[in-house]
Amino acid sequence: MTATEQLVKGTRERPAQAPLRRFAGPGAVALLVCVLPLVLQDYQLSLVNSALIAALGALALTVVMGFVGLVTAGNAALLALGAYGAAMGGAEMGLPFPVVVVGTVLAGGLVGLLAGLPALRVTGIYLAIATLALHFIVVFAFNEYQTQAVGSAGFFLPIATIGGLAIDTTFKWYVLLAIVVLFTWWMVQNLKRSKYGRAWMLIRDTPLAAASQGISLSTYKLSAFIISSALISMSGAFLAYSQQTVYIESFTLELAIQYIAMVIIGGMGSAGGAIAGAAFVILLPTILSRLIALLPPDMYAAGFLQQNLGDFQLIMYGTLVVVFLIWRPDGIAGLARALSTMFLPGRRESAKR
Amino acid sequence: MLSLLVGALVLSAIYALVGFAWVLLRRTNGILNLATGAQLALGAFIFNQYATSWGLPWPVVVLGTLATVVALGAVTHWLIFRKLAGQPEFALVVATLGLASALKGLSSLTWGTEARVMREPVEGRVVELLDGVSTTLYGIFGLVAALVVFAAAHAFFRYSTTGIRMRAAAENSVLASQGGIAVDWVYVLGWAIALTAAAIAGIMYAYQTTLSFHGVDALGLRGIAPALVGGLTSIKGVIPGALIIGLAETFGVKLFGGSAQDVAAWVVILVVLLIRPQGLFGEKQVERV
Repeated sequence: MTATEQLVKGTRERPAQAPLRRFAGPGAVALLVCVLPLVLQDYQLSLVNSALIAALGALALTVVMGFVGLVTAGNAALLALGAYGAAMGGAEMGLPFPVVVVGTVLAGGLVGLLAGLPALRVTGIYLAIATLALHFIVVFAFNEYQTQAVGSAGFFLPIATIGGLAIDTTFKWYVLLAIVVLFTWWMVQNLKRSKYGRAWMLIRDTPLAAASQGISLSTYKLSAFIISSALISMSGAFLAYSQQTVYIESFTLELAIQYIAMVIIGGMGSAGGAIAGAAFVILLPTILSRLIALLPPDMYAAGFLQQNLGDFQLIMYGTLVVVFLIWRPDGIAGLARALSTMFLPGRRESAKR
Repeated sequence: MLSLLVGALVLSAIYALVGFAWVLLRRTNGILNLATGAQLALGAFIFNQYATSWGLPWPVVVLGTLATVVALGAVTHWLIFRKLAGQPEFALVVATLGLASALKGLSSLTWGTEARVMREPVEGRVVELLDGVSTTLYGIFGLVAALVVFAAAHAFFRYSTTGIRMRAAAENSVLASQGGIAVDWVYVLGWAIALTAAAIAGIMYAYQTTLSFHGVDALGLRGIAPALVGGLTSIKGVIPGALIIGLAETFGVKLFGGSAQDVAAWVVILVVLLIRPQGLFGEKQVERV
């Protein structure tokens, strides 16, 4: 259903589903969340944690890229904003973790407003230019700050504590991140179905129709960018606290493109897809190096692949973005939907609606 | 003071070439090419491969680089952007970001990341222009290259049939193809010219500094600044744009130290977006519906 059809028909009426099917999805997610820490080792769970933090950023990016159809290259800058906010607030000023998180959300929203305001008065691509400028200026500023404050090693953060409870194990981080990601997921899904979500998708599909419905294009675009910026900045704070170090070299333009890859691979406009895309992008290097380890170790190619894993990652993310854009703009989420209609005949009916 | 101005002028020539690559693709192919930086670096590294690593004779180096870059442009169009035809602008911009990532990986895989010094066609002699005002021979090369490219582009788009076809395809691709213009070849030509200009800029910059992916890539991205100042779609607008960026960067470095080089252009971009987003010569692109 396109946004236009949704607007005409209204989204309130949802297909009547059998209770079993209706709760199957959330039930499976809940089961997965509970089972993962039981079956995974500590290292594997820490990978899941990285994927969850990335999922937070990807969910945020879905709002602005998937719902509104805007390109932003400022993801790494906003992550850096959150991370350095955490470094300043948590390490330098000694503020408690929850206060720092709220602070980074506000800072992210403010920077989103400042960067988006001039750019979104004009057509969408100007946001790509403004966020590119944001990236280089933010990285420059934090680099200067880091050099003056602590030097090139970067900042070390204290252990995050919430109301006296120290989050000092992988498992505790997992619980916290799972709660935050599930809440964000729920929020993004609700946003999508709200007045704002419908307006955003209408702007994406047919700006002309949106404007004639009395939707202010620049206000709605700006609101999406502000929400997204605030959330990405927050995920930067989580990233900094969970790794307990912050240094500027990790915030590259390639990192920004990685987040875009998550959204494109996962499927634009699908919140579940964004989480799947984040998991895919974060786990890809590990999966690749495991696969390479299966090759005979005396093979030249195996050593070459292992040594240049970083470069292969860049190539794969870039190629996958282009391939998905051409072949399946709806990403993994669309693939999953297509497969489920193919193999689960009962779903065919509801998918057609 | 005068030597600073000469330095700014030499830098502006390079920015003019990069800005030209941005504007040409935006105008002819309708693509905001965020992979310009990576492509600039790729062009310079290909040149370096022929010139330094293989030590080929200079005419072969120049023709070989040109042929490779043009072929790359054709591949880029047929393999990626031809297949994205009809998709919203959003998809095109994201595809260029993906392309940038892939090219960076490829380049780093092939040539590594450390800085290199390229084989020189002549000794990089310092040329004394006036008393105490000097530049390198490569600075002058860059200026000449920029002048030649702009003069050729002007003549090409105004007088040649192909150039007029390119303008027609840029204005309305459907009407142009109805009128018998092979739009795909126009787009291939757009990529070829843009990548050639970018490669020239990358090579000139690498001769004036050193060749490193990071440095040349960053230059290519900053090249969006002169394009934006000029209005993104105006070729003649690139020249004042490049002069402004060249001056801003030179004086930024003079006043705030070497690290200002990395941000001067981006600050100008934010200022332009604030005051006059359509640039000096661009049409107003405000969405009024």
